[in-house]
Amino acid sequence: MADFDPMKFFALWMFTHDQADDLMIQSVARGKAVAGEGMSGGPDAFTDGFMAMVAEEKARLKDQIASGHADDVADPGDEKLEEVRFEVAELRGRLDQMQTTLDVIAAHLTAKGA
Amino acid sequence: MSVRSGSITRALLGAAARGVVRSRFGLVSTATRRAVFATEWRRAFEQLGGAFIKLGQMVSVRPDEFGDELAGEMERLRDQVAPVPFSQLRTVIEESLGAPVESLYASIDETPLASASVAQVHAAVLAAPYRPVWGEELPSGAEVVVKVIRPGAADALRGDIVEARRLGSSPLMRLILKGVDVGSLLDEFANSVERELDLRVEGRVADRFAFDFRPDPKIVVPRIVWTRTAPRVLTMERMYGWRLSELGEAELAGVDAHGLAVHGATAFMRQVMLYGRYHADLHPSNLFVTPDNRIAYLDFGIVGRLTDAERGDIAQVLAGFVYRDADRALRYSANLGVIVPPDRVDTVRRELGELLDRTMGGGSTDFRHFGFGFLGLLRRNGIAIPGGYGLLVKSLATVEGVARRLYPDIDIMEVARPFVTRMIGDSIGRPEKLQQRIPAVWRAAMRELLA
Repeated sequence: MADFDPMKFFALWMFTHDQADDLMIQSVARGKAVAGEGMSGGPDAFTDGFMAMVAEEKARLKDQIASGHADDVADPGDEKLEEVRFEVAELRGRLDQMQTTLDVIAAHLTAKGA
Repeated sequence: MSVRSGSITRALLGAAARGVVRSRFGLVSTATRRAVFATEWRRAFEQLGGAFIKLGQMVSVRPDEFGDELAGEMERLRDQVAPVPFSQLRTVIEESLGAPVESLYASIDETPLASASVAQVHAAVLAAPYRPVWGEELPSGAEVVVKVIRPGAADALRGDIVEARRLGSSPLMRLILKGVDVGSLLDEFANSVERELDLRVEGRVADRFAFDFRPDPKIVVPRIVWTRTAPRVLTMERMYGWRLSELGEAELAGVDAHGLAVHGATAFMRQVMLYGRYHADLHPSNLFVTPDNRIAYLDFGIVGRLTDAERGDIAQVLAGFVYRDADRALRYSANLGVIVPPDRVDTVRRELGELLDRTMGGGSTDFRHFGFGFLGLLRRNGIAIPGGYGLLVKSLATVEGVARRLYPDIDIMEVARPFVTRMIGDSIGRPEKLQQRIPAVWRAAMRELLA
């Protein structure tokens, strides 16, 4: 086997990236046309549509980084806390309603006893 | 035979007889015959009222079982009946809440806002503040509506269901409804009626919707007053605005019709694909457009529920529709119970591809035609359609219709496309999904490289 040739290795690496980059750019371009009448439909149409949205996300990410707000993401803990808050509030609603039912029963019993 | 039983038999036989005559004893085209019979059934159901109104509403959300002509016709069913005097409702309210109406509310309007076969709605004013399950406190003096089950409605509905079961098992009705599993359908119907007769169920669904849509300032759900609620009484915040069914050009001029149509359609997709709970009885009377440009949901009588796996599969099926990818749509429909027999796969795939190109291509889409065409295609090929699947297709078609009332040129698939793409994209990042898919990705990549 020939000696390892770093130049050739990086050239192949760069070539592969160039090819992938070109394919991605083409896919994004096709995906952007999806909204128009040009969409051919079929399995590749979804991939192209997806890549167009990835490109939009990349643009948003670049803007966020440029504006210094890259860390502004929702904390999953907040979501969990909200869920628990709702469960407690729902329980309170049920208790309110049950108290009403109890009051009705108590009123009936009082009326009967009177 | 009871009086009611006689009325039901006469009304249904009369509808069948008129249908036969109007369709010239079957000499007209199949489409005309179906349309004629659908109109006659709808009129008979309207005339019978009670459970038949509810049964018609259930038929209207099941085009998979009854065909789109009958389902479409039943959408026009009007659930409006003469109101009962308030004195009768006063008894129901006082029995349910255990106090005189005057001490429960600061005031109540004895003229109803609406009167339907099961319940009647009256405007009222809260006497004391109430902290709802979600949202800001309703202050003392807040305007509310009180929905009350009409006296005798529960017994009448249950009696009608018994009659419907008796009629459904008769040889004549079995012949008319051939292919329909009347027994299980009536079981499902009886369950849904029982849920509807307990207004607390509707209140809990409203609370959950309010929570689900909490980050969305454009969607508003009435707050429930649980201290003034019981199985037969539901007190909730009053909404002001225009029902979609009464929205004229003047009202539309004052709101962002396009924005609301897009937002309403997206909100429905969020219900289905994010929350797994969706309003399955959307029609123009169940939605309000508020003067401050918001959409208010009303009446949570029929709610569809989905598991996590179903939500993912539905997103994939919808992606198959919007990207006209018949294989994707059929592959994931199978997970939802739409099983295409091996000998029909090629035919169904070809017919679905043609239908997608016809209704969803060329720059403008028509989901209603596509959805009902797809259900018809499955039926023609002898493929059983699960109830939930049919309900979902119907609901999406309804959302399209509702959105078009707001903005006639809206393309519902244009709204769905980025939504489902993102949904599926988001799901790729889940570790379990990666673990499941990476071996196949690796094998496919190596096969291509080494081919």
